[in-house]
Order: sequence, then C-alpha cells, then structure tokens
Amino acid sequence: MASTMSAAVWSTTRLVAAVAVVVLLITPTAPRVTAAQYSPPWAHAFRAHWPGTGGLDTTNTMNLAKQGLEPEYKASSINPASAKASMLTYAVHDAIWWMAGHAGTGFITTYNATNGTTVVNVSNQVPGSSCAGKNACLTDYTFEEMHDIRVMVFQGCDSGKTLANGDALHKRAKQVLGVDASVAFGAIIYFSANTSDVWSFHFANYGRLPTTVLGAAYYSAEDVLFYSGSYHGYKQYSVYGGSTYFFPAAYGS
Amino acid sequence: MPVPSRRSMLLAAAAVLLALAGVASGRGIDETRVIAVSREEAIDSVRAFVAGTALTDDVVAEGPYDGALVRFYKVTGHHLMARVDANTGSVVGVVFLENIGQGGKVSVDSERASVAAKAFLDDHSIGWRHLEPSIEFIDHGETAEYLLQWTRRDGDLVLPEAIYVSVDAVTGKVISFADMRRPFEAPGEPSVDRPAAIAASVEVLRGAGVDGEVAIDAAELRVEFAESGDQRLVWKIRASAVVERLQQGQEIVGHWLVEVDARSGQAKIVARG
Repeated sequence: MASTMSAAVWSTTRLVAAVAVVVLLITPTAPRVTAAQYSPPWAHAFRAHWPGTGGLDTTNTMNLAKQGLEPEYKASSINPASAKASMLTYAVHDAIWWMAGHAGTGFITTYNATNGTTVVNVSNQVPGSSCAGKNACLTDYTFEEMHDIRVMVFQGCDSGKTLANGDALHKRAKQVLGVDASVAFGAIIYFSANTSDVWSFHFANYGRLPTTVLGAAYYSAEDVLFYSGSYHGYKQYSVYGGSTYFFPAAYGS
Repeated sequence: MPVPSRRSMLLAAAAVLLALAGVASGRGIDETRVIAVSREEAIDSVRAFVAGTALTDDVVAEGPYDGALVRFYKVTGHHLMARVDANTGSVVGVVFLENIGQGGKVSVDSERASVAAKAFLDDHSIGWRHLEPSIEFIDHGETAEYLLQWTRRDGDLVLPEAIYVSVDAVTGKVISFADMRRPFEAPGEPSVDRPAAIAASVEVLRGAGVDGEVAIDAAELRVEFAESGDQRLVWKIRASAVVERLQQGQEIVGHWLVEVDARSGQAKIVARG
C-alpha cells in the first residue's frame, strides 16, 4: 500500500513538473514590448519659442539635433503639450526624447503660442509644481511606458540638479523608468543668440564616431569651449547610462 | 613642431597673398588665423604630443574650423580627440576618454589632481606658473572630475590667457587639456565703467521684452577678439529674471549673457538660457 501510494505521488509529481517545464518554455521571461516599433526608430526633439527678442528660442537648437540624428532616426522637431497623455504619444515608441528650454532644479519647460508654457517635473516635490493640466511629472510614468527609450536629453539650466530628496529628472529617467541613458546639466547653460548652437549639433553628431553618450557629452563640452571661448555651463553635464551608444539606432530595452 | 612641408609652404604663401589683398582693400587680417599647417602636419603634431603611444594609429584630421581664439584642426580617433592650431601647429586641446573611470568610487583628492595636472603641463612644456590657479570638483552623475584652471587677470580685467586641465576623480589620470591663450596688447582703460555697462545691459533686455526684475549675476571686463581678429574690450554681463510664474507658483527663470562694448557702450544679447 505504501509503495502504491508512493508511486502515485511520484507520478503526480512528475506530471506537475512536466507541465511546469512546458509552461516555462512557452512563457516569455521578459516583459512584452507593446509599443509600436518603427523603422527607423523615432526621435523627438522638443523645441521652445518664448515670445520677444529676449525670449529663449530653441528652434534652431532642436533642428540641429534633428539633423544630427537623421537618417538613422526618423527625427522630428516639435512643440509638445506636456501633459502625460500627450508626451506618451512621443515617449512610448521612441528611441530619443530630447527637450531644450528653460529649466530649473527638477523640471524643464517648453513654450509655444498655442500651448503656452508646459512643464515636465520630476515629481510634485518640485517647489510650486503641479502634475495636472498641461504639466506632467515623471513620477506619473511607468517603467513599461518608458523603458523603450534609448536616450533622454534635458537641455536646460540646472536640469540635472537634485531635489532635497535626491530625485532628479535624468536620474529618475535612468534608474526608475529604465531608459538606457539620460543627460542633464548642473549649471546655467547658454544657447547662442546669434550663431548655431554648438553643443546640440556636436552632441548629436559625435555618436557617429562611434562614441558613447558620455563621450559625446565630454567632446561637445570641449567644442563649446573652443568655438565660444567659454564652457557656458556645458562642462557641468550629468550623465546616467553613459556607456550607451546613439548609433547604430536600435530600440531601447 | 613638425618641419613645414611643401604643401604648408604653399598654404602660407597663399595666406600672405590673401593678407596683402586684405590690406590693399583696407581690411585688416588676423595673422593668428593664417593657415600655415596642413592636415597631415596637424596629425604629426598630435603624434608628437602623445609620443610613444599607439593612441593615434587611426586618427583623421578635419578642418580647419574657426574657433573663438584660433583656427584649428580637429584630429579624431578611437582613443582621443585633439585640436591643433592651424597657424602654429601647436596642440591646443586633447581629450582622452579612456582615462574616465566609470562607476568607480571617488578616490582622488584635489591635491593629487593638482599634482597630476601640473605634471601633464610640465611634460608638454606648457607654462602655467605665472597664471592664477583654481580647482572645481564636478559631479557628472556616474563619473566625476576635477577641472583645474589657470587664468590671468590684471585687477578686474580678465585677459585671454587660460589653461584648463581635467583630472578624473577615480583614475587620477588627465582626461582633457585646453589651451585658451592668445597674444594680446594692453587694452588701456575702458570708456564704459561697470555701472554704465550694467545699465546698458538692463536697457537692452528691457528693449527685448524682459519686464521682470533683472538680477545681475556677474559682470566681467574681458579682452576678447572679433571674428576679424580685432582685439576688443568688452563687459560680459550675466543677468537673470523670472520670465513666468505658473498657476501653482512655480517660477520659470530666464538667463541672459549680454555683451557691452567697453569703448562704445553698445550692448547686445549674445546668449540665452
């Protein structure tokens, strides 16, 4: 009787184990990527154009970024409305997300005549911030929504500075949202009022050497020095995931 | 410095002809921007600079390009990126990316970084002892470096003599070097003093639509050079103002770099942030 019971238990165990193996074999171990996959992958450069001759206009800057990424990326230079729903249109499927505009500790902004000022905050811990309306917070985004992105660039003054709780735009992008690489700045940076923006042009093009994101950030800061006579804050770049490459284009993971 | 080749002699001759043409037409010419060095010679200069290493096996030269102080070639390979003055053949900048310690713990203090930087300059016969030193620690997120600067001032006047050396805070090795020096003449006294320069910068910002309270973050009198090569004495004014206060109270601050000619008082916005 005991041996019969033992045999029955053994048979059941083997059956369960076999089923488990089959289930394991047919179940993907990585999360499914539900985003559409474009070929070439998309890159979005978010420009800003505040009014008046004293206003910051990063249209040229973002056009240079777009040109530098083409044709390996299907790049566009656009004005976003930065509520989460709007930004996800650009974020989920894309490989590059690059913003240039006024910024501060924990946030970056864009502006156009239609949407006015729109903000991407790292969280609602930014003083005076809101994640509602035209504004968005990175804390509202999930890993599943963002991890496909290869590089996020926050090109604005103090965009790389950390809040009192240690959070920062580019740090959260890499460490929480799973983008491959992120770049921001720990100082006031300047966009030239009269000539082409040196940093974005070179940063976008250095990837072709090939050079990593970290290498491109280092090289392009030196370019700013030699072309303009000053680092203009670009030496204070801050990079996470610096060993990532822009080129050849591929999808984030 | 490499021996001038036939090509560079032809380049120099062409430059002289251009100079004569410039003089004949009443325009000056910036002698420091005359191209006297070929791309091949630029590569030779870089090879001499990193003598005894294989860092330059795959380099190519591009340019020359017009920089803020000199016209330069860019010499790039897998192991380095360098800049060579197209007039003198001197290496004026180099970056060794491989010397960046990624992901490591900061183990180098400022004193050790300073020793490494000075040794690098001495090894390449770059004079720094008459210049004023300063050092800054820069946190780059996953990496960190010390940026050492040697600059020269005459009172409050910033002269066009600056040397930058970056030392990795993990490896202790020199990552980059930049030589931003150029011959200049004593500029004399400015016709526009600091208060007048600041007033002119605020006025130009008002004219450009900046209507908030303007803060002056810095005001420096500097010797600089126009694209034509003409030496200039200018005030560089860094200003900022709140450009928008959002509904919840979040402030958007704009930054401007305004240049005021210290002779004429003419002001213009040269950069925004």
